[in-house]
Amino acid sequence: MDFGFGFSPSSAADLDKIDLSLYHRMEKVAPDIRTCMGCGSCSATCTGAPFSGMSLRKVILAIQRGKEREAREMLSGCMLCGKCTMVCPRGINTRNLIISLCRYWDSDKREYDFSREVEVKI
Amino acid sequence: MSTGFTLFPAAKKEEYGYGVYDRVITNADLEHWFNTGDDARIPAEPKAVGFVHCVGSRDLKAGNSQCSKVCCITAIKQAMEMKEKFPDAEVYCFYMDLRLFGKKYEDFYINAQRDYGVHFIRGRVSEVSENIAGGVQVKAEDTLSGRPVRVQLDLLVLMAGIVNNPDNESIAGQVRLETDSDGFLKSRDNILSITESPRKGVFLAGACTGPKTVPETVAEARSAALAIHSYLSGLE
Amino acid sequence: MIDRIASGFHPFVLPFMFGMVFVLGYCVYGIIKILCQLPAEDRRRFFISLVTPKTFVKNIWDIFANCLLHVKLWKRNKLLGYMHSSIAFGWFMIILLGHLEVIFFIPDRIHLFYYPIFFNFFVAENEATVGGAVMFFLMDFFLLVILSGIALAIIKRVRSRLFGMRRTTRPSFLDTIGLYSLWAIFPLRLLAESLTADISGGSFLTLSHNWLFRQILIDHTDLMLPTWWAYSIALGVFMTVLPFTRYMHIPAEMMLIPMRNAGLCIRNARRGFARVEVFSCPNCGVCIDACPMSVRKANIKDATVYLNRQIRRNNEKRIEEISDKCLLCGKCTVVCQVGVEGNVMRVAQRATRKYAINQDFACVDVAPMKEKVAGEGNVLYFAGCMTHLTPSIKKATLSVLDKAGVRYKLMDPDGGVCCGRPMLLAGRFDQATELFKRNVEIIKASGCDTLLLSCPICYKMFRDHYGKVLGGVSGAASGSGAGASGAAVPVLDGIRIVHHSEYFAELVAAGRLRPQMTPDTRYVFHDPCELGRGEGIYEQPREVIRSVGTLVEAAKNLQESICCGGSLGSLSLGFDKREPITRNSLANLCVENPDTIVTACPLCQSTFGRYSSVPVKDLSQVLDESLA
Repeated sequence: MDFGFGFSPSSAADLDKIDLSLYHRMEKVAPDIRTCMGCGSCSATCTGAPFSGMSLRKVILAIQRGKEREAREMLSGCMLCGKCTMVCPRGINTRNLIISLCRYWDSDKREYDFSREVEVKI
Repeated sequence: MSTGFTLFPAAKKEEYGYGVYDRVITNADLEHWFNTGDDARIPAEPKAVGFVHCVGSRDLKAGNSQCSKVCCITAIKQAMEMKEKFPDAEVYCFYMDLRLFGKKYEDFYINAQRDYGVHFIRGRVSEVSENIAGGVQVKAEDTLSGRPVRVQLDLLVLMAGIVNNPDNESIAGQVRLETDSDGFLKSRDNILSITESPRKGVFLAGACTGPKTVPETVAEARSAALAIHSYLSGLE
Repeated sequence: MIDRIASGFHPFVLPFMFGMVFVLGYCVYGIIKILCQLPAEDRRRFFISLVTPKTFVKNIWDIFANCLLHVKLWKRNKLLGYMHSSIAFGWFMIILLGHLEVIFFIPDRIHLFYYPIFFNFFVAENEATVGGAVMFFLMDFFLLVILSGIALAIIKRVRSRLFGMRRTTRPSFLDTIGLYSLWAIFPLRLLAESLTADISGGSFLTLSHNWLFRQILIDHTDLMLPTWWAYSIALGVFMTVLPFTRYMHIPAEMMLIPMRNAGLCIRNARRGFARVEVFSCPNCGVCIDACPMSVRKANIKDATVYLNRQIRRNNEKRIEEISDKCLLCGKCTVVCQVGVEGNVMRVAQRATRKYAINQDFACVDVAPMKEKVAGEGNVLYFAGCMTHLTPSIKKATLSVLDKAGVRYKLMDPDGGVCCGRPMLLAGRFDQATELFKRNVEIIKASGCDTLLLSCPICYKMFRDHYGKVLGGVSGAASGSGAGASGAAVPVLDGIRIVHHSEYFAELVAAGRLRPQMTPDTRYVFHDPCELGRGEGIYEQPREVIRSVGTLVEAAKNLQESICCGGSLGSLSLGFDKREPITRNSLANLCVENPDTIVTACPLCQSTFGRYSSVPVKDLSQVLDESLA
């Protein structure tokens, strides 16, 4: 039953207990995720940020701290424009990281829909 | 050998607009202005001044992964000087990390905070645009609060980093030395014999082997001189 | 003329017959399957186009010119062109003449499949008659043509560099069998016909060989039957393996041409049109040398030819790797002889992916932006994401507009919404459309009549897709990929979409800008992928450059320009892997030692600027500097 309020869980990130399976999965598909130094360039330049509060720096940090829900929300505002890739001082392939996150969020299985019919014009 | 270093060409970081916007200068330009008072780009009564740390250093996109060591302390020094010249101006330092390792450096930092009220914002500047008033607008993320910041500045100073001397390659080739992956000359050992090259009889001192502060350079010069003396006297 | 074998049959024809029936059956099955996979609307279009006289003639001509004569290949490389057309056209002629022989000389046998192929075995005609002399001469002539082609093919296998190809594909196991059986067919035919020539006639080639054999062999008739067997077996093997080798491109291309002429396009990543494209790939490997990634040896296996191969093998892991790595520069599509669209094919593969998180742009509210753009000025300038990182371009563009007295306003002075093209290239069409719609809203609210862009990525997006989203005039854009002509600028919904290079060229031509010409400065122009190959704009930027200085050209330019390596098309290519691509592209630009590299894309400029020792400038900067 949901009363609309409740005891708020501790906001402390207990590094002993948090589930880092997503982070470890990402380390495999996009090893770049390890090299972020949190400078904030990506967030400052982000085209989507003014609308959705997207911040790749925060997403990476949230995943490392087990706060996956926050990260998920931010990711859905990414426009893939590539500005973050351009400014990252560590040369992280941020678009690949974002796409991999969106794709392998739930599992590392690759899923396809081959029946999709859509006019491919690029 | 003491071939020294060159300053990172700040125009290469296009997004900062050096050479495009009038109100964007480098640390070297500002130092020159302190000494001569001659730079038309610096306004008479700036209300807000910004310093961007790590321009061209710690930046793979600029081709330099190394830290330039001196920019943090230089920025703080220049920020305090600006504050002395323009006490009413707000001074912002945009940094990724503050690396104040030298003797009394940390005291400088405390000074800048306590006595001068310099604002330190942890976030790398990602975009600079020109505003209608002729100043510049800077976009960064204040990573400590997790919020984007935007500020209008009358002057933006880029702390251009120390990069290798472009002639290193050819000079090194002439005496059959090697350059390191960062373009600086390679020492025999980076910890125990930084002033010695892998070739006998060739000695290195100062910023030719990597970014150095003045005390380090002086110490290395002395060390190298001593090593040369020992070598010539056949003591080794 | 005598029918040598009264029954008209000999068991040696069986291998050939087996191969022939098998390959025909397979092709019929394939055609039916492909047609079933097409969406009903496409299928209808295809059938209608087959019976429309105009497309019918075009189909015949295209098949003749491309499949037999290899006209496109001739234009590219004479030696390769000769090699392929000699085999293809020669073989076609031999089959045709074989049938004519049967019709002329022994019409009651025409119903036998193998008669035209093994004519000389079954029929003893004499070259003394006029008909025989002409026919046999032609047969020998085309056999010689084919043999010369086969000889070239063997040389090419050993030394591909002689043919101007640095790298070729590595054939698979079945390909090798197909290859060797193909090589064997015609020498064996020569042998068989020569040994039979003194019985059933021949011409300059077969008769001379026959004479030779009679000199060196005691009884050449002993060898006659075994060579006919060998010839038939070679044919049988070739046709049996054909569906599983690259030689499937021969029937597939004949299907691809009419489908393309019917205006079909890829709708499904693996079925229908895409499948025909995959099978049409002849594995020639021209795309390997064309691919900008090939400067790294590790990336050679990421060329389009290998994508096609992996799709045939259903190797999902490699398909995904190859499609994600590609820069989508479109060069493989331009150089492809059969018209396989490597870049479109890759985006189609990307579009099949399922994501756990789907972008949602409901939160993107453009109402404040719509308010801001409503106002004076008929030219709306959209800088785009990338231009925000190269403020020099934006500043120079606005300065040029000021100097020309253009009344403009800014669409994204404080950041805007991404055009959606990066999303589109990632295969996420629905999300891309969402972003695009937002931009269209802003554009419409501005009341402008011209949308000016300095980024070719945005430009291509707006130009190709503007009409469609609005549900208005669609297809007015000259289309995607190769061969798009930049002559006509489409006017969509009353709004003209122009790239700054076009716009500046017009301003200069109209005399509204009078640049100071400095002939001593040498400029080279880099054709950005999206602007050149994408939209066919090659001449306008060059006109602008000619008005300010001397234009020199890169080693490879225009359609064959080499991608800068910064492309947003690639999803997985890392920063360090792009450096050799950029350096290779720079070396290509600098062959004439230009003073300045000029480009017309912010992304190219940033990418080149990182490694170039020569200054890299945008067209707008060069023009602005030359204006007093």
